[in-house]
Amino acid sequence: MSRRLLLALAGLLIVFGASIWTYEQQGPPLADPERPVATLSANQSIRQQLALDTFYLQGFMLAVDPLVADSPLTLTLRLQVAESGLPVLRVASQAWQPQIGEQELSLRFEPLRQPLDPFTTTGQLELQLELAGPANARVELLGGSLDPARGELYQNGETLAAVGLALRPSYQRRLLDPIWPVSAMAAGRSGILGWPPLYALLAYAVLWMFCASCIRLWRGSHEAQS
Amino acid sequence: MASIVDQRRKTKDEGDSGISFRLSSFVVGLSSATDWRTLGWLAGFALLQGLLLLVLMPPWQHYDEPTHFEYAALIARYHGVPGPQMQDIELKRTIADSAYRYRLWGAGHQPDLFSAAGPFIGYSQAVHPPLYYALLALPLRLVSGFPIEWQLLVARFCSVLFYTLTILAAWRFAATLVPDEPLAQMCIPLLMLCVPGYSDLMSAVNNDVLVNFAATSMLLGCVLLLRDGIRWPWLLLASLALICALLTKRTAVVLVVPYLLSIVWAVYREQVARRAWWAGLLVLLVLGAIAVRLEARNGSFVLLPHGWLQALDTSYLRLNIAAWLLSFSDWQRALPLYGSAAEVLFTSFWLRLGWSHIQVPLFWGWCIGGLLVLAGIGLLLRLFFRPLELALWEQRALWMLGVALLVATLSAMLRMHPLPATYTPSFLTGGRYTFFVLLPLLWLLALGLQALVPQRWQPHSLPVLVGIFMLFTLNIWFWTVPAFYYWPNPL
Repeated sequence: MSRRLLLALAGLLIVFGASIWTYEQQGPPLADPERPVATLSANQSIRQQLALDTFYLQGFMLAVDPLVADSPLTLTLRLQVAESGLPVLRVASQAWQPQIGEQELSLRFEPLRQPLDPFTTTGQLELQLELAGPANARVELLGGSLDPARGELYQNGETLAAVGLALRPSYQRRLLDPIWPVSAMAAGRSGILGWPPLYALLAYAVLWMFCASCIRLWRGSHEAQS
Repeated sequence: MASIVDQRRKTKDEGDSGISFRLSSFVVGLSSATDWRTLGWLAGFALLQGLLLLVLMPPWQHYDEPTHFEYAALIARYHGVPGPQMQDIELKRTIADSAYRYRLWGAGHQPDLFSAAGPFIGYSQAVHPPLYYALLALPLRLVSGFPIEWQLLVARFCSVLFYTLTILAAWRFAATLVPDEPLAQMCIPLLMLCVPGYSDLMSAVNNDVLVNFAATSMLLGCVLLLRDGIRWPWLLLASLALICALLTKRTAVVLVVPYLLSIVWAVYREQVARRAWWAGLLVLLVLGAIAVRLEARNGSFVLLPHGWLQALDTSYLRLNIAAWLLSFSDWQRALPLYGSAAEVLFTSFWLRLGWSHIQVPLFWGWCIGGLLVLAGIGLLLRLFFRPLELALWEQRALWMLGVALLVATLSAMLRMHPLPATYTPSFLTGGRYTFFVLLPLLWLLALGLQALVPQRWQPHSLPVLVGIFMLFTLNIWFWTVPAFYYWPNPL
């Protein structure tokens, strides 16, 4: 096997690997976990409205402080656009054994690959949290002060003024994305077009043709001169 | 290309040029394993780049792509050529819905999918001759059950195939004109591959794609005619390509000029005496007088068409020649607009992609503009001070390229006529109307620049030019387009 072919194959493997290898990138928290801002009891819910980048959003980290720690609890998250009547985007549940003291929960769902429609939505999201467990189950949700322009927290239909939950969004990223945004190219497309490595491999092949053409021309011009 | 400058090649006799009319040589003119390798290389390059653009550009993001596709889809659905008034509201809704989902229109614009007349997706393209759309309709029939975006991809892929064939035709053109220069033979098609606006258009659903392919093939036929004289395979190639272009888009009518020139030169293969040029000029004047008359109106002279030209215009050309000539005669109004037309032509040719909504970094505008100016100076030097020592057919081939470029550019510039009576036109012809003379432009660019390079460095001049264009293209595909559509988030 020639050296050039080996080089091409090595490059191909690197590009392919970089286009399928994903990693988690955490976004800035909505509010700092300074203090308890709301208490969630069993079979109750709380809503947080917020504006954030949804592209390849795959979950949230949430700071909680269980007040009762005798049996397992389940926290369910429903994510939807703030406008009413539109379907729920994602649902995630996390069951855990509570311990007294501050805990961080991770609620994960299938990454959002389809960008939100700017024509039918304002871009504002609504996140609903529900607690399931024994009747005496209660957790305090940690958070901090929040500018109402960035989002609002609602409980029992009322706004909890100027505070927000300490939600930290988590995104799925590919190694190649910062160089060649293959995830974005595949977003919202069906079939093979929704497969990010396709874009990486095509780009690599074209780049290879460019480089190889340059080498051919370089050699050709030197032969012509000599 | 160096041979154009250095190595004098006299007209070859038939045996020398290796011409034989076996079917294989007629089809591609390939004679060696190197030729086949080059063919494979260029075809692979064009195909890969075309495929990349095909998927990189989101659906419907090229000039009038929804309506070009609609025309082809109507032929596929109804097995016949639709008139401009024909509507398929369901098809319109499907296209509009998809175009909306892929953000074709600006924020706030939402197509009315359920209007009785169907949503507006652009002006019907059914005014164009149907050849390109009929060809696209063949594969579209096979995928009619697929989602509309996939049907669009299939149609785009047909364009990419034409793109690949165009690059191969450009290569055969170079191989004909400079048979002893494998480097130049590679450089010209590579330059063609490295014009981003051209590659972008050639991967779109647009009848310009077939015009560009037909024009390049016609030029190939013409140069073969110039080299060998009237031979039926070359005549057939040039004539069929011209007919194909004319059956695709009426703007291709200007290709008649280089075609006729080549025929005349292929028949009269000797040096033409000076008096023959005067006679030719006289014939042109007589033809002009047969077509157009001069009339005094409001104290100034205006041009008007004769009856037969008016009839041809009404039935086929649809150029509104009478109004056009009247507007053209109004020099005082038209002159200031020619500068704007040239600017729009240059900008949209080199520096715009998609619906002209993607702008290439301005740096490249200065760079390409500078190269064009330098090439112009080089061509003038060639013409007046450093004439090339070429065989007669080679000189004529270069003149033919120059004439093709000139008439196409003039035709695009003059399309601003007839000027509206009360306001300045906002639409000036875009560069895509001159893409079919990209091959002549690149030849003259290379030739002009080479005239400015010292003889010692001339073998490197073309590869350096290709290198500049490669950087240009890579910058567009790997930065400008992704930054426009996909950074930081999709669309």
